[in-house]
Amino acid sequence: MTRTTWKSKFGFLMAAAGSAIGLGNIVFFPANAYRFGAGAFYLPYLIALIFLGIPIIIMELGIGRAFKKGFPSSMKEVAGFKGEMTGWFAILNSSVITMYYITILGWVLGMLIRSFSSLWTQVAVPEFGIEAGTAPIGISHFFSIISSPGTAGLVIIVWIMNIFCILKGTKTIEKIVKILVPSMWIFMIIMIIRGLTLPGGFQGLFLLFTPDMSILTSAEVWKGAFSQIFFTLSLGFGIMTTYASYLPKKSDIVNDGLSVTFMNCTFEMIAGIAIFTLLFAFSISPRASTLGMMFFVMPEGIAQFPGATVTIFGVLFFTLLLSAGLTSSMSLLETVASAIIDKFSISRKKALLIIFVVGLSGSIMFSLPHVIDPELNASGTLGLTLLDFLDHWAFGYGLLLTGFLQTIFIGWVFGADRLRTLLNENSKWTIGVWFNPLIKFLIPGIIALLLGSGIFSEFSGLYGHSSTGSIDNLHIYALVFWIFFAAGGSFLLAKMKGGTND
Amino acid sequence: MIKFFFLFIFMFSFFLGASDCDFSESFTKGKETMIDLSSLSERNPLNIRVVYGPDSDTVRESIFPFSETFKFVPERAGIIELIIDDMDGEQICSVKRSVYFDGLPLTGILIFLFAGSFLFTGTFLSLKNALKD
Repeated sequence: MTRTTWKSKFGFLMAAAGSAIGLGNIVFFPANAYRFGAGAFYLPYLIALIFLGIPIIIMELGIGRAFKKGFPSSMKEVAGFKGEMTGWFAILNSSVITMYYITILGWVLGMLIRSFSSLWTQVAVPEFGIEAGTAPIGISHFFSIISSPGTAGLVIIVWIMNIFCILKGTKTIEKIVKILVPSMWIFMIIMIIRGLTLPGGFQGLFLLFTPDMSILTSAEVWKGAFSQIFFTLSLGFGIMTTYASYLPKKSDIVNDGLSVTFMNCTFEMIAGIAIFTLLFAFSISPRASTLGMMFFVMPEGIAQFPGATVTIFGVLFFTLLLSAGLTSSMSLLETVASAIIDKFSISRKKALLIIFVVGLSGSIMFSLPHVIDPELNASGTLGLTLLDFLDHWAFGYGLLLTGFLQTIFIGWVFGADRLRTLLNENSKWTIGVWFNPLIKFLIPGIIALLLGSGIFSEFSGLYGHSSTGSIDNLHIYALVFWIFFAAGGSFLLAKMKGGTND
Repeated sequence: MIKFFFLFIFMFSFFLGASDCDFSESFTKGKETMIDLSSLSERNPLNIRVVYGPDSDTVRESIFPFSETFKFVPERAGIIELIIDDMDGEQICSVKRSVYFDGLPLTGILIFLFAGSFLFTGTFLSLKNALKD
């Protein structure tokens, strides 16, 4: 089967940057920056970018361009059966993430539709005992959406949008990202202008960059910065390897890696400025998570805009989120599709049909509106609780584990020198011997520390905190399911005999 | 990409939050501002807590005895939370406010310029090189 290639370098860069720029860039980075001493976060963040982010992204792109195969097949070339198993682990783990990621995009679509009118007025949610006027607008609308059976329809729409985006592989992806990615930059610049022109807007910018140096001695801030870089660049999914496999052999992979990384982090910086201007102007502290920032904190800020600008900026914000989410989710699906097509030599249409049926079922499961906890001591609905628990394992551990195994196999089995030779083939900026200890020791060491500290905190209770009885069981079931699905499944898939491409 | 931990804790704190204190003064780091809290004196107030950087890892708290006219000199710029507690240790009310910088923060501007020039120059140079082919 002939492998398609990107029509232009610009198309590839937009696709790879679009994949990296996701919901986390817009909301999770500002939340992390605020949490870890604002400007003081930038020092560990830039160090993590140089020592972890850039080397791994170049490594992932490098093996994709060299072997011109999806992630599991490329990893098979790197380290045989164990490598392929790592590749399938990444694919199955990212399949779980994709399922709930698309559910979240369904909720974003719901908020976008409501932001044209009703989102800016109070709503009652009797399922949770929320009366109109008793909870902030974002919270009441979010819980109204997740407890509605109609949300499954929104999830189906987002799935269809995704399948349409990857229907013809690079051909359709390239067309879509060439529109969406530049639009995201334009939307974000409009958000910055609005933020800076608010009373106290520039103070928000100062707040983002003025450091509280006392925090630099805390291990948490360094852990936060290295995790942020790992997740923001979409590492450990196999996406960059898949996208690079569609590049021509003569591509300058080092420069491509730098372009994607810098575009992603620059976008993150301007997103940070846009969000911080709002936080300062409306005196909001961004507590909690990405989900909290997207659906509660930001709508709370936008709702305070004057007059009709509420609707304009509300629509703009949720359109921005949907675009960023789509460019990421389509890259995740393309990675899965590429792996299946390479292994089993089936047509793209068949692969997409399998992905659609299995993936949609999973996404519907995460949108189950059944209220299990009206007191909101847990996450409220069954779907959201399952999502929360599986995210804990798949996102919190799965990606890091893939990154760890990948660097070990590439650094020690394939060989750091061989990798450098591959990377330097067409590169303007060549990589020196300093790269070897990074790939062999430093990066696996850092990832092992991040994983170890996470596992250590598990012993302090659910998410490192004391938990609420019966929820514990569901948490354990989620762990067991994740181990069987991702680890067990990867063993079976690696054992299976492939098609002619394998 | 994404991360959700503690959604429920976040949610719960919203519903348990005390009512907003009723004052609208704006604050600047290092400048004294008088806050009129006389409307709260009937509710057995004990002290005033000022939380700098609420919900962050750099959180710092200062506690002052309650007074109807509270002379407040903010020590740090950024987001603060003012909480009034009663004799039983319960919150009477709380409010978040922004504290302005007293002039231009030099280190903040330097970090902004450094990070901005590093990232924008990196983007410009690498894109220029990539698209030249």
